[in-house]
Parts: sequence; C-alpha cells; structure tokens
Amino acid sequence: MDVQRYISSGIIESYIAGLATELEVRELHSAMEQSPELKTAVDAAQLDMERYIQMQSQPPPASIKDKLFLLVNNDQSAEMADVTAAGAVPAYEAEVPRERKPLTLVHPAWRVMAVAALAGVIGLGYYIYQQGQADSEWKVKYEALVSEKETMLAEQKVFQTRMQESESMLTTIRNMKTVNMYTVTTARPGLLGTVYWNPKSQEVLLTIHNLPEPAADQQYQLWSIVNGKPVDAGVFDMSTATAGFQKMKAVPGAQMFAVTLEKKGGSPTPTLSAMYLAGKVAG
Amino acid sequence: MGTSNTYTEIELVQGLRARDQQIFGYLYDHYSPALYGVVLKVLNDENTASDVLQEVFLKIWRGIEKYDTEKGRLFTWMLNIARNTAIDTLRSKAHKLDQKIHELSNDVYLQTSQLTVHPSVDHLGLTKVLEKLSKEQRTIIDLAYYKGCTQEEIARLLDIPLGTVKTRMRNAIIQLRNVLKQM
Repeated sequence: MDVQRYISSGIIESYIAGLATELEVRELHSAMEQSPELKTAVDAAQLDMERYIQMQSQPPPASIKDKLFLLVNNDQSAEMADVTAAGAVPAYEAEVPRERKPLTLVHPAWRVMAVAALAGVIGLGYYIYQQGQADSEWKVKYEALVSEKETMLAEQKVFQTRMQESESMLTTIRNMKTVNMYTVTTARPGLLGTVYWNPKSQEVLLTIHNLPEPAADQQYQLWSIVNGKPVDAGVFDMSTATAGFQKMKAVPGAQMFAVTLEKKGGSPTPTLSAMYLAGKVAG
Repeated sequence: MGTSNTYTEIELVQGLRARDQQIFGYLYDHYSPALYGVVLKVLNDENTASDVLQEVFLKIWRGIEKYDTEKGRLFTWMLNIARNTAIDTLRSKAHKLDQKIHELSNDVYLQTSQLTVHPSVDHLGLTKVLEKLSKEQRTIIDLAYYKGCTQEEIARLLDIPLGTVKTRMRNAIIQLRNVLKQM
C-alpha cells in the first residue's frame, strides 16, 4: 500500500477523533503493524489529540474518591476471600478460625505430672515420718519436702486458673465468626489481623498479627461496614491487640470489617485512603 | 498516605496488576481531572458524570489485565474507557440527536463566565486553541469525539454531504494540531 496516500486519506484524523468505523480501525491497526512510518504518524496525531482532551480537564467532586475506594476495598476483600477459600470448605469449618494464635495452654500432661509428684511427695513424707522422727537430719529433709509440696500446690492453682482462662477464651472464640483481614496494599502481604465476632451477643474481639506501629498522635481504628456504610467499632492500642485479644465495641450486623489509621482517639468517619486492613464476613 | 512519588507508566501498570491501592490512589489523583473532563463534556450533567467517573475507575481497576502495553499508552486506554462509558451512558439515556447540538452550544467550556470556576485548569490554553478554530471545526471534533456521532449523523447535523465529513474532519484536526504546535 502507498503509505503516504493512506496517511493523507483522512483515516488517521477520523481514527483519533473516534469517527472511524470498526472495519476502518481494524484496517488501520494492521497497516500500522506493517509500516513504522504510519505508526509514528498515528502516534503523533494521537498525542496531539490527547493534549487537546487534557486541556479540558476538570477536577471531579471530592466525594467520588472515597466512594470509589470503598468499592475497591469491597472488591479486594472479596478477592482475598476467594483466594483463601481456595477449595471447598466443609460447613463445620466455617465457624472455626483457620489460623489461630497459639494460645498458651497448659498441656494436660502437666496436670498428671503435678498430681503424681504431689502424691510422691506426700507418700515419701509419710514414709520418712514413719521412719522415726528422732533423726533430726530426716526432720529437716521432711520439712523441706513439706514446704516444697506447698509451693507445688500453689503453682498448680496458678496453672489451673490459666487453663480455665484459656479454655473459656477458646469456647468464646469457637462460637464466633472469624473474619480474616488482609492488607490493602502490597507492602504488607499476608493475613494481618483477625476479628472474632459473635453476631448473637454482638461481641467483637480483635487480634493484630502484623501492622506498623502508628505515630504518637495516631491510632488504628476498627470499622464494621454495614450495608456499605462504615460504623465505628473503636480505636485500639497495638500493645493489647498484638499480645492477645482486644475487646471492641459491640457490632450488631456487618458485612465487612476494616482498619484505618486515624488521628489519636479516632475519627467519626474513616479515612479510606488510609485503610490498612479489610476483610469480608463469610456468608 | 500522601506520598509525592511519581511513577513511570510501567510502574503504574505493575502496581495496578498487583492490586496496589496506593498506586491506584496516585492514578486517581493524577488522571481523574482529565477523565472527568471527558465524561462531563460528553454528558453535560455533573450528577451523571460523577457516577460515570466512578464506573470508569472501577473498570480500570478491574480490567487492568485487559490492557495491553503493546497496543498503546495507558493514558490512551483510560481515555478510551472514559469516552466509551460516557457515550454509552449518553446513548442509553436516549438522547435525541438534535439535543447534542443544543448541548454543544450550551457547553460549559464555551461559556467564558464558567471558565473562572476552576483556575487550576488550563483554560487559557484551551481558549486560545478554540479561538483559532472555526465554529464548524470545533463542532465537528466535539461531535465525533465527545458525542460519539457517526459520519452520517454529523453530515445530517451540520447539513453537509456525507462524502465531505472525513475531509472536513481532517482539516479540523490538522488545524488543531497546528495551533497546538505554536503553543
């Protein structure tokens, strides 16, 4: 084809003004692949047209950005949920946290050992006692053993209390929905926070796995998203939320949870551009 | 998150593909005025334009996989999305063809009283360009680009023979490019 003639046919101008028919566009694209000269001519015209278009820029209303990011975050957490729910999850697993913080439970074996040791100590003490108390050396040993027994008893009480706490925490969490919250930027990949939420009791517990420490005048704030509207669920301190579980404000119903970085004490509405975590409530 | 980074086109595309919201925020801040300008000029209605702009950016966010770096620049691709989405909306609103002409003559950009509203926008340059084009040249470009008219529609609206639409468009664009070169 005669490139010069094609260039002066008006097709390029029609094309960049959006006037070319579909057939003409296809024709032009394949001709551009054949001829670098033509491609250069089209690109130059395109650039000029874009300059003209850009001259007519208008700043959009500020409210659009927030709305857009809320939608994008919705998208993102849905995507994340799809990724993590790879493969069919049996129904009974839905309520059980998939990733859980290792709780400092007391292993049952310790209980057995403590009891056995106690029995041994008492038995031995009794035996020694039987052996005649005249021997003062034995007496000293016996008293040492008795005090040791008391120490062990006290220790066992501590273990028991801890175990009851862990067990009740476990029971609470078992009855809660788990909402895994993921990063919304690629800077911090992976699971970064988990909300445990009981829709019946409306109780919310939050634990953070990985978030950067906020500045002194800032705090992270948890939000529940109800029908697309963010509802404040309270600010939290990193120390509590990373070490264990922080109780947050009650949430009656939610489709999503999200964490944003706000000024210290929290904000009435979330700064969506500073959203760090988001997660969808499963079914 | 107000970083003052600048990104290359490749970084932008990679960031969007990696679902990086910071990059998306940057993209929005930098390109929304241009895209909103297109959408608003197509629709001439701020409420509809706002909804369409949101839709445009969602299409960009969700459809970045469809963008082919070989086929053209990212900005060109985004402009096409903005233009097509806005024109589809315009058509679905069953705008009468005659109304398009009417809208063009009521165009906010052509009313100098409106031009002081957004001093950040390069209206001075635009006014200079528009002064150097004839009314018909301005209209033919805008009908094609901003209203998505076909050659037949333009022939009917401007009351010129169908065979001359392409030629007049060519002259209009050549004139536009010459004016831009002198700036």
